[in-house]
Parts: sequence; C-alpha cells; structure tokens
Amino acid sequence: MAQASWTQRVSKYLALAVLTLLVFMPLSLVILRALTPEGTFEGFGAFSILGEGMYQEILLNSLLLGFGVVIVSSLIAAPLAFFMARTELGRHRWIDIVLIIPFMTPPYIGAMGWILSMQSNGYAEQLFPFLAPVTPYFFTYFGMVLVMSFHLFPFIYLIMRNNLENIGGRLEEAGLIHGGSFLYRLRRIVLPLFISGYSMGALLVFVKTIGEFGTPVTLGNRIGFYVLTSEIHRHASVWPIDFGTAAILSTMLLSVSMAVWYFQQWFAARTHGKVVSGKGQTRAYTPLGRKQIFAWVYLAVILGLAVGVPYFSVASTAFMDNQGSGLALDNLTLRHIQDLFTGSGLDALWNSVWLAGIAATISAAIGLWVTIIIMKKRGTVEKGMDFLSIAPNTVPGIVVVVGLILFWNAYWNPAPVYNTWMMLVTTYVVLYIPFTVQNIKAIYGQLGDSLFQAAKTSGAGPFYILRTVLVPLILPGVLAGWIMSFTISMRELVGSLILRPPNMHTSATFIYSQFEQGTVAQGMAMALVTVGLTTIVLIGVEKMKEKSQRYRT
Amino acid sequence: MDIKFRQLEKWFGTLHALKPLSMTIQSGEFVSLVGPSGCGKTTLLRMIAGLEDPAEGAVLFDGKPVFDKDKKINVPPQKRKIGMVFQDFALWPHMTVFENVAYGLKATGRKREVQDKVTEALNNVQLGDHKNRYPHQLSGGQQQRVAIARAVATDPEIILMDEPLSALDASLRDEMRILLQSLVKKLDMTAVYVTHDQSEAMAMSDRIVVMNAGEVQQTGTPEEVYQRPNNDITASFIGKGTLIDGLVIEVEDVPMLKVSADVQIPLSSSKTKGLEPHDWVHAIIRPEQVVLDTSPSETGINGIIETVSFLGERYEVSLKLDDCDERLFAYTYEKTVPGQEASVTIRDTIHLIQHRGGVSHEETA
Repeated sequence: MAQASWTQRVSKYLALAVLTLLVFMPLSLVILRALTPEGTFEGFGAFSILGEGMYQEILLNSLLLGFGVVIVSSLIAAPLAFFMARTELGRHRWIDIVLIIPFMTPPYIGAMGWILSMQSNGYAEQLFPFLAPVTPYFFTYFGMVLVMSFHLFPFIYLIMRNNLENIGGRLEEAGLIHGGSFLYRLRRIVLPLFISGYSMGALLVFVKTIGEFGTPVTLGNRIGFYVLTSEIHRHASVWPIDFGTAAILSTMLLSVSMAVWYFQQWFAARTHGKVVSGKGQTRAYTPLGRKQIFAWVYLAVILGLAVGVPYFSVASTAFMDNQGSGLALDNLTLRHIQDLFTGSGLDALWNSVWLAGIAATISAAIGLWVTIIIMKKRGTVEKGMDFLSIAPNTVPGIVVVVGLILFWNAYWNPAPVYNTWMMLVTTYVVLYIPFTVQNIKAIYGQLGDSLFQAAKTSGAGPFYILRTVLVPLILPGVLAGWIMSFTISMRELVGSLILRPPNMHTSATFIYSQFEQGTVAQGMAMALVTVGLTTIVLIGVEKMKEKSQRYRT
Repeated sequence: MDIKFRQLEKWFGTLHALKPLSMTIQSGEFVSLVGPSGCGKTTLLRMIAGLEDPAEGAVLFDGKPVFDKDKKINVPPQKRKIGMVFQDFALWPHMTVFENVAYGLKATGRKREVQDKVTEALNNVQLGDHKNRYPHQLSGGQQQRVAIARAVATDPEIILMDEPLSALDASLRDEMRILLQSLVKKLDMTAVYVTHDQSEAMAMSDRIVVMNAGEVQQTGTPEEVYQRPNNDITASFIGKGTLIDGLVIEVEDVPMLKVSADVQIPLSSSKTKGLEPHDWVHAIIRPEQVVLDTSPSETGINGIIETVSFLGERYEVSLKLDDCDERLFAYTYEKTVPGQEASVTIRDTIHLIQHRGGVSHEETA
C-alpha cells in the first residue's frame, strides 16, 4: 500500500493530541495529585490517610456494596437468563427490550423512586399497610444493594443469556453423543464454559457498582452509608474543598477498578474466550409446558420491582397535587408539569438538550475521526489512541470528573473553559467518547478489507473512498454513538453536579436539587419529562435508521 | 497489455512469501496462478494490483513500471487501470447493482459513459434486469456476476481474479467459469486468475503457473504441466495419479522401471536419453494410462481392488499392487467390487521425473 500521506500523518497526531488533552491529562493529574496532595511530593506516603478508620470504612463499604450487588444481581438474572435462553419465553424477543429499561433508567431516578416508595408513609405503606414493619430495612445497606442490583442486573442477564445460548446446541449434543450423563455434561461442559463468561459479567458489574454515583449520593448519603464515590464528591464540592483527598480516594477507586478490569481482560484472554461461532448452531431447548406460568410470574415480579416500583413512584409524585394526601384520584394534577414548563425547570431542560446535542455531535465527530485512524493501522500510536478513547468507560465517572477539575481549573491552564458551559460539554464529550468509538468500531470491524480494495482497484482515491464507501457504511454506527451520547448526556448527574457553572442547572441537577431540598414533585415531573424525551429521541432515530438502511435486511 | 515481473520478491517478516520471480504475461493471455494455500499466489496477484508492496524488483505494464524498487516508482492501485474480482465478491452493500458497477466510472470522472458502460457490462453478465436491486437481494451467483461486471465496466486491459468461484456452489461454478472465460476473451483482456483448484485452472487458462512455498515450480500450458510436470510438487498438485518411485533397469535389453522386487513396469528404449541404468526416478502414472483387466494375466501387473467410486460416466478404481505398497488409479466402465483381483497394463507415455536436479524425461511404455 502507498505510504501514508502527510495529511494522514498530521491528522493522526492531531487526533492523538486531542485525546491526550481530553483524556490523558485529566487522568494523570488525578494520580499526580494523589502523590502530592498538599503540593509537595509525598509519594505513596500520601496514601497513609487510608490507614485512618474513616477511610477504611469507606473503602470497606464500597467493596461490600460491590460484592452484594454482584451476588444479588446474579441471583435475579440467572433464572431469567435460563428462561430466555432455553425455554418458550425465548421466543418473545420483546422481553429483552423491556429488561433493558432498568439499565437505561438513570440510577439516581431509580433510587429516588425507591425512596419515595419505601419512606415512612410512602407509597408502599399506603398501598400495602402490612409492609410497614419491613420498609425501614430498606434504609440500610440492603436497600442500597437492592436498588443497585435492580439497576445493574440486565447487564449480567445479557451476558448469562448469550453465554447459555452459545454453550447450547452442538456442544451439549456432542457431549451427549459421546456418552456424557446430564450431571457429567453440566460439570465438564456447561459449567466451565459458563463460568468464564459469567465471571466477566460479574467483574464488570462489580466495577460499575463501586464507580456508581447516583444511588450513593441519593440513598447512601441519606442513611449514612458512605462509599468512595460519595466521599470523593464531598471532598470535591462541599466546603472545605480538599482536592488532595479527593484525588487520593479517586486513585484508590481507579486502582481497584483498573485492577479488576485488567484481571478480567487477562482472565478472558486465557480462558476459551470464543465459544464456537454462531454458524449452524442449534439451540438447546427445555420446554416448560404448563410450568411456564412460574417463569412468567417470576418475570412479572422482577419487572414489577425493577421498572414498576421506581416509575410508579416517580409518576405518582409528579402527578400528585398534595403530597400529604396520598394516593387518590381527586389528588391528581398536571400542575407540576405545567410549572415545570413555565418556571426555571424549562431552562434546565433546555440547557440539557443543547449541551447534550453539542456534546454528542463533538464526541461522534471525534469518535469517527479516531476510529478511522485506529482501524486503518495497528501501530503503537494507534494502540495508544485506542486505549485512551476507551479509558473513560473503564474509569468511574467521578474519577474522570475530579481529573477534569484538576486539569481545567489548574492555575497554569489558560483555556477559559472552567466555570462555563463549555466545561459541561467537555465533560460529556470525555465521558462518552468511548460509546461513539465502540459503536463505530463495531460496525467498522464487520467491513471486509476487500470492500476498500475493490474501490481502490476501481480507480477511487483515498478521499473518494472515504466519502462513498467508508462513511456511508459506518454511518449507522456514528448515529448510534450520537444517540447514546445524547441520551446519556441528557441525564448525566455526577459531572453536571460538580462542574456546572454557578446558576446553571441541567435537568439532572434540577431533579437532584428539587429532590434534596425543593419541591419533590417538580423534580419527579422533570424526571418523567427527561426520560420521556430521551425515549422519544431513541425511538425516532431508530425509525429513521430503519428507513435509511433499506439495504441491510 | 502485457505484465512483466523483474526479480519480484516479497517478505512477510521472516517468511519469504515470494522468492525472486521474473516472467512475462502476454497481452490477451489468460494465466492462472495455482498452488496450495500460502504458496504466494494471492500475494503475487495483490502486488500486480498494488494492494501489496513488493520488497524488491519491478512490475511493468506494457513496459512501463507501475512498481520499481530501484527507481522508487509505486503507482497506487487506483491509478493502475485494472479490474479486480474478489473471492468474497466485495460488493458495497449500500449501493444498488447499478451503483456498484458504475462506481469505477464515476470515481475516475467518466460520468458521461456511465449509462452505456454499465448497461453493457450488466448485459454481458445477463443481469440487465436487476440493476436496481441491492446486493443482499441477489443470490451468490448473481452477486459474483455483479462483481465481474464491476471489474470490466471501466474497460480495463488487465483483469485480476482472486479465487472468484470458490465461494460458489459446485453447480454454479461451471456456469460461472464458462461465463468468465468467454467474457475475458470477448473483451480481449489480459487475465490473471488465482485458484487453488487445479482443474479450474486447467479448464480456463492459456498458461498455468504452479507455485509452492513462494516459488514458481513450473510454467506452461495446461497440457504441459499435466503431461510433463518437472517435479513432484507439480506432478502431485496438478491432476490425479500416482507418483511411483523406481529404479531404471534393463531386462533383456528392454528398459524397465523397477518398483519393487516383483513389480516392474516396462519402458520403451526409444527415448532414454540421459538416463543411466540404476538411476532412481519418479514416475507419474495418470488413471487414464492404466488399463484395468479383471482377469489376472501373465503380462500385466497384478493387484487387488481396494475402492470403487462411481463418477457418473465411469468408475474410478484404486488398486493395491501385489508385493509392494503402491496404489494405482484406473478408470473403467465395468462395475467391480473391492477385494477383487485384477491386473493392469500401462499404456501411452509415462512421464519420468529424475530424482536429482529435477530434470524431466519422457518415456514411452
């Protein structure tokens, strides 16, 4: 192939510079600051504060929470995965879509919904008075685990289901034909294959849990269950602000998640990562017959808890005239929605829309640019760029936010970004570049080299190929990345809360502040509108995609 | 347009993918590169296309270098004016059949010719009615015909084909082969065709280049490489048959090929130039040279039938020779059964390959 032209080289190093500025600088400043919390280098001595009882407890809380959520979400997901992979329920593909809803619901909104249900004289007690003795237990470690498990179980469910589907069919048939009894097959074929996939999902859920911010900051702070993320938030945004300690805790969190993440990568690489390809695979099938009623009941209970409870609470609160009067038809009102669109809520919502729109556009553009570079060649620079573009997804959001403060608020940084709306756009871009990159990469990876070689031998130059072949083919990936960035940016809490300029609210910070010290009903009305709006965008773009992708089916 | 290689060479890391090669492909010639996978045939094709950079040497089209290491010339693929057909068809899924075929014309700014050329190319592959479909709406054979139309639409003088039939069903393959063969001749293009299927290569080509481990083993017409392979690799790769080890001896002035103590195949004395008695040689014995007789005879070579395969118009029989480990293949119209005793005689020319030096000799039995 012809040597890369100078424009390609310039583009490559420019992209590297952008990623360095956006991702590398903030993250390395976190670690640097952790080693020099008071401005002088203390090395690992700085970590001695972790010896203090308070911090030990925080770390322990984080780990306990992680383990608890992994266990509970696995318990919730396992039967569902079995039902969907091996029984009649698997024919109903819509269940998969419904099961994703909890995962797509912003965790802080889910947590708020649960709090509203379980608090004394909440909806749970109003509807089922006999629950009164149970509800206080919600405001403990168990409640935290419950809420977060109901948020994260879809993740582990998907991994388990795919795993079970892949193991099924031929592999088990082969075991059967070679004379393995049921238990022998389970022990020697299904379990070993299942465990390698499951462990991957479990580790990812663990990392997500300890890096999660929404639930700890709403429910955890309320009940005095402090974890790393909520403590980092406290040190970074509540007076007396102490970036040194925030950085140390962030580094702590970062090392735990990175360690787990790399362990998972290592584990996945050394075990049979790929089970046989999907070609000609038959699915193992265990018909339940009339017993499937139990499976449906189980599904209904899980959906009721994971989707029903939070959304019922949020909606009831949003449409309730007088919170004291409880659930009653004559207590119904649209007042809060109207207030939202006439008061400061509208500003917050509009801010979220345009901030998310700009951020999604920038991150889709950067994602496209970076992906084209890293998919073309696999040199050292490209690998570095690949790593940097994915890094914000493996690092807990709050760590990225602390890094962004340290970098953009540094006295030596001349860019007038901090404390302006640009800071929020930058935050969203950094946080969600991995989504655009991954989406585009997934589609790009499916394109054979010969598609481009065919264009070359047809006489097309590099730019013509880019315009007529590459871009049209990966456009769906770009679009998917854009929607994902947009919808998640719309509801982003941690970065918005800490980095918003004074007097500027986004929908997420509006919900949070109304819930904490304002009109809860206003907050919940906003939650409904935000979730509704992002859902409409999702559906709309999906429809558009179908139309423009006639050639795909 | 002729294609010339001058000391063309390629390395992949420590793998010598193509050992220095010099040869010329004549204008209008249909040349097949055959060999087992990894022999360097696809690498050579991709170097002609410019998709792979040679390590050393030069590639010339009509005497003009498109690649020359010493002169630092490397014309990019899009400027080489070639057509190429890929194994996986490589149709762009987001373009209709028409747009796929029109691509090369549009890319090179020949917009005014688009309508005529595309229609002509599609008619040539009998797909005129399908121009508004998307590739996924076509069958495999139709997709490959679109790919062929795309490769010829720009009137290239060179067409390169990388195993274009290997992704198709056996039944479609013959049909497509005939279409390709006639189209290439009709448009008077120089064609380079890569395949691992020797029968395909023999059926289509004016000339065959047999390659193995980055090295050209033999170049010649299909008849030449089939009847007179110059080494074991070519002999075993091209065509069916048995490679037999033997010693040239003379029994009562008649030259014989001694395969084992008891098995001797008579050779005629007419063309034993350069061969000394007691030279070790290889003989390639093709099934059509073996005449099977189900009644054991004094003059023939005796053996036992091992397998019988029905090929439609005749049977293919494998016969284990008595008193040695060799097997011969023969065609017969008579139904036989495994385990049956039979004898064979060898007719026509047996091609001998001398062990050392790889010089080939011809013998008549």
